[in-house]
Amino acid sequence: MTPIEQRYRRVLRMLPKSYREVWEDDMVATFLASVETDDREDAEYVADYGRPGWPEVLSIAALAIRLRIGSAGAPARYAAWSRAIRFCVLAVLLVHATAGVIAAAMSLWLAGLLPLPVAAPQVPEPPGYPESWRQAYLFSALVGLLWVPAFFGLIRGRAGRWMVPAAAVATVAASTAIVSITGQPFTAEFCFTNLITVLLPLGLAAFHRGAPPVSRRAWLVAFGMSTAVMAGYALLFIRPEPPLPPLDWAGLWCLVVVIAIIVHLARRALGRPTDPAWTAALTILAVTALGMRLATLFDYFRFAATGWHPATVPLAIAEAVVVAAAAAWIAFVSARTLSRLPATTADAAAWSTTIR
Amino acid sequence: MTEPAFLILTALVDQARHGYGIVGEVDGLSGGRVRLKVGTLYGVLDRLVSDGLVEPDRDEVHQGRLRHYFRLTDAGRRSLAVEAERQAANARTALDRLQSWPPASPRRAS
Repeated sequence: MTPIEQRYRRVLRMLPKSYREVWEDDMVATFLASVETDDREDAEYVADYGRPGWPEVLSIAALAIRLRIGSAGAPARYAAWSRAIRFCVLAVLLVHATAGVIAAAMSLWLAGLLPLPVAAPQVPEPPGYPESWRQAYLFSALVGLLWVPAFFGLIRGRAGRWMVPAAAVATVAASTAIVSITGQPFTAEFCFTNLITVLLPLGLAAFHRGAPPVSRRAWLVAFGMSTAVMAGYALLFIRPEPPLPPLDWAGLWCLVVVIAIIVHLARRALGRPTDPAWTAALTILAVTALGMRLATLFDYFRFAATGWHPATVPLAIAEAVVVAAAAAWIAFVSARTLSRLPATTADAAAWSTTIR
Repeated sequence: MTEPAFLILTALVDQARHGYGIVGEVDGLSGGRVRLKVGTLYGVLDRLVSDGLVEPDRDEVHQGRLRHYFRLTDAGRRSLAVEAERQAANARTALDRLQSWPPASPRRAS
């Protein structure tokens, strides 16, 4: 085996084993034929020092992603992963859409543009902010409303997918503008939240042509419940002046994820039918909530200033421990459940038998 | 139907071909515009096989390596014909419109 073949086979390791068993040798033969040359010296040089180019590597990476999460008729294990990614994308969109509605409503209320039975309090001027900070915050809150059509577009069908990257780009641009206008430091929470927002459109690969339609009713109910929880949280805890509530934004989502994990595992323990994709999705969501919790904790320690409730930091540490334990538990269950699902399809096996 | 899938099916109309044979034929059919990467080729082939449009033909040994050949199925031929007719109809419509609506004559400088 020449060095270039070894390098190419290393690249192919990105593909699922079941797929490689059928296609690897053929792919290697095709690749080596594509770099063949009539000149003997050139051929020897390529064989010893050549390597697959980036476009070639990217095509394999794209295939690896598609086979795992975006392939119609994929083996049961990869189909479950694909569903899990779809659930995660929809869950994050749900959070963004709900937060967008509540933040826009609150901003309009505080600006005196949304009359509510309760009069809007006077928000104090933060020291060092420019005069335009209120307009900047209001504009940023209204940009957050883009997540609402993105969420509803995706539960309606694939045609609305383009709204997700549009909302992601607008949100990252608006939040970055706020930071630069107000002169705030870039916090770990800001970086982590925007990282999730930027990664979100990649999950759209799981909404492939062969994917079953989303259960609209369930997600509409989830949107209603999520909006009610968020509105209740905002009405009960959020005040225009410090201290901020002890259960902060990251804490709220840690709590929601932990409750979801407990309910899911309780259903399994009671022998009720559960989708293994939800087990995997809750693992991803728990790790995301933990990341958010640790990022905000890092900010609390880094900016040891006033502004938050004395119970916030001890509560945040407790939340990090609880969500980490829940993430480890659900990850173990998820790994065990998914490993029992077949990683090859009858089609792949038939093809393999035919071709060999 | 994506352009790579359309060109791969077209490449298999006259004879069964192996992976690199398809890459070369698609390159020729598209006038060098579409150069399939191996990951793209096998991603599309995998989908065409699962859709029943392409199937394995035979194996041949070339320079010590086994080459798998692929051929078009009847369903693949029909699917390609439908897609080619659709594209041709679109092209005819566009050409008719272009001939009916010539570009406005350039304005004379005043």
